[in-house]
Amino acid sequence: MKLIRVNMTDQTVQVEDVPQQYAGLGGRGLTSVMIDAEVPPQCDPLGPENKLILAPGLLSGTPLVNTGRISIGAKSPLTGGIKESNSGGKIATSLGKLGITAIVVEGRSPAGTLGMLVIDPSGNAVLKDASALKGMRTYALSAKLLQDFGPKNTVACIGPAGELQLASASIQTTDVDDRPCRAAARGGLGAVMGAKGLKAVVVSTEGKNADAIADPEAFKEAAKAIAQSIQKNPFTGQMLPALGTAGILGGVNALGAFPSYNATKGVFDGWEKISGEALAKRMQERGGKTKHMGCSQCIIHCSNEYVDEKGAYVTSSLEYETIWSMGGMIGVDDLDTIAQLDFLCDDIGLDTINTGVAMAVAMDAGHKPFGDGAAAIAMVEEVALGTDFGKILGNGPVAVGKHFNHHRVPAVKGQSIAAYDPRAMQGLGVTYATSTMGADHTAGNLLGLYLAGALKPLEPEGQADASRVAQITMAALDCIGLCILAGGVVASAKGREAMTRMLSAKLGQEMAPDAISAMGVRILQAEKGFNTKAGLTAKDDRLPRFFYEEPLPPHNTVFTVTDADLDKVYTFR
Amino acid sequence: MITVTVKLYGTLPQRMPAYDPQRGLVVTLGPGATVADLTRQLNLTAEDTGVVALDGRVAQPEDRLPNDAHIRIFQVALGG
Repeated sequence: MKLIRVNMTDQTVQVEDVPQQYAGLGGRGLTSVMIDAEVPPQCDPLGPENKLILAPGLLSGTPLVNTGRISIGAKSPLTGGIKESNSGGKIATSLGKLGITAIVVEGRSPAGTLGMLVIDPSGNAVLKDASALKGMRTYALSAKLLQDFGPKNTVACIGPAGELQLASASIQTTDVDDRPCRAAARGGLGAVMGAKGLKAVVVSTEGKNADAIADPEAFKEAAKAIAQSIQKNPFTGQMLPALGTAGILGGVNALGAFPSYNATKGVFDGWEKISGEALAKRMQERGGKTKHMGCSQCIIHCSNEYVDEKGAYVTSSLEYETIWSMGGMIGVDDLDTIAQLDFLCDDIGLDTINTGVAMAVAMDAGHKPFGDGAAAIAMVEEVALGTDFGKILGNGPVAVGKHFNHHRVPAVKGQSIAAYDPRAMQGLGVTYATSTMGADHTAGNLLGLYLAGALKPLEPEGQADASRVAQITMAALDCIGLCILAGGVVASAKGREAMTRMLSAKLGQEMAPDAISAMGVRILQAEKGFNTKAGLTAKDDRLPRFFYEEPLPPHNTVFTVTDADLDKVYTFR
Repeated sequence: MITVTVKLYGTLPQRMPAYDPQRGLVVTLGPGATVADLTRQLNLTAEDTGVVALDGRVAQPEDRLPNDAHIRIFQVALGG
């Protein structure tokens, strides 16, 4: 249990025991509580006072399946509030096995310098000069670093977008196959890393110093129960391995909630060309992979490997959200184009969601026609080139909306919505509006309730309460480090009980039955507190006007949850 | 009797070896049959069945099926 504090200003690295105030926290719980405690809320997100924190989940590095998740946190240059962005790959498990609770990057490198942090199998961390890596894209960068330091390492890094400190810049992490195709994408944390002058973090995968589990036998028993639940569940055990996350596209489209053509339609005419079924069929025909392990410890294998007509690798993993943002949202119904855009964003280090929506706003404003895939590829390339328009695009949909003086910008707190329209899934609108993260589907997705018929998607009643419950659960999962796709297991009483037993066994203290909810509430309160001190108010917890005024076909509904209901979401009993 | 065409998504087609994704299933039901009658006939449980779209609109279990209707059945999922 140690923190590695990296001071980029004086180029020093210090190791300390985890302070008591952070005990029992990991992942988002640790990043958010620590930011609330240590980062001045009014600071410049790209200045030296901000801190970039990389924290594996509380159970990352343990034998529990699907715990290869890392939380990266900071004050966001995109939202102006607190941010946690979550990624898979190998780095969380690797840090966990090194006994590293978090890496805290502070200060700012001297102007013009660039560094990288390297952590060896013993957990020793050193800062090295990385000026020779300036400008490199993430695929070439990761390959070079793994050649220089050896294949038994994993990488978190930024591309040109991060170095340019653009607000849609991501931090990419390498997957099980050593490709930098996993992303802590949202909120511009790549820009924070770039502002600190940190190009990459290289972490040994050979650690053998994981924190002790207080009761290994009890842990093992509970872990087995959770793994069995994941495998038995039709969604995680069958659908995700067969179709990936894109398997949900048809259902969302059928609900009229698939925002298309910059959220002017809820159904995309070309949906069957870009659905999970179409993706799987194409990969089977071309020799790609529809069932692929992207993250360590994963037993779901929702990832895929997209290949071209000759069978050559294009990208991994082509996910539902990207297929939406680079597909329906910009009117593109060609999977090859979408895959190319996904690769480019990973390579340049960009959030595919924010970038796709930024392009949709530009197209809606008349900059380029909807459906023009070649124009989309050229626009993304402009980001890497650092052209004037590329910088605007790389700063996200709000920047693009301002540039074109265009009103229809589907973003909250500066961050774009995801692939569920709030007019056809009112509860997603509640989550988008109220989440401390800005518009973020992973903060509290209610799709499962709608598809199961447990909540009516078009009615305002019950949405705020459902969103609150989901936001609490998601915050806890992000703290634990359990993949949210596997997180459905804790929705059941049996699964939640198993997870509570597991936390007790890990920490060596009896956890109360409501410990998981209490964990989630503590995190949300810390985040809300930080945002309030940063200057965000109830006015920031609202959707853009057009969601209230422009009916969305085919249901022709608008967002009708009241402001009073939105303001109650963060009221916890 | 009425006849409807059903398309299945997700992993539902794997339950029916003869399923043709291009043509779907042609199912014959009694007059006045509902969406629930259809899913029952296809041996699909509530756990299997998410959205049922009837001629492009979301249908409820009690909705009656018109003759020649086109139905799409999607699985329950949690989110991407």
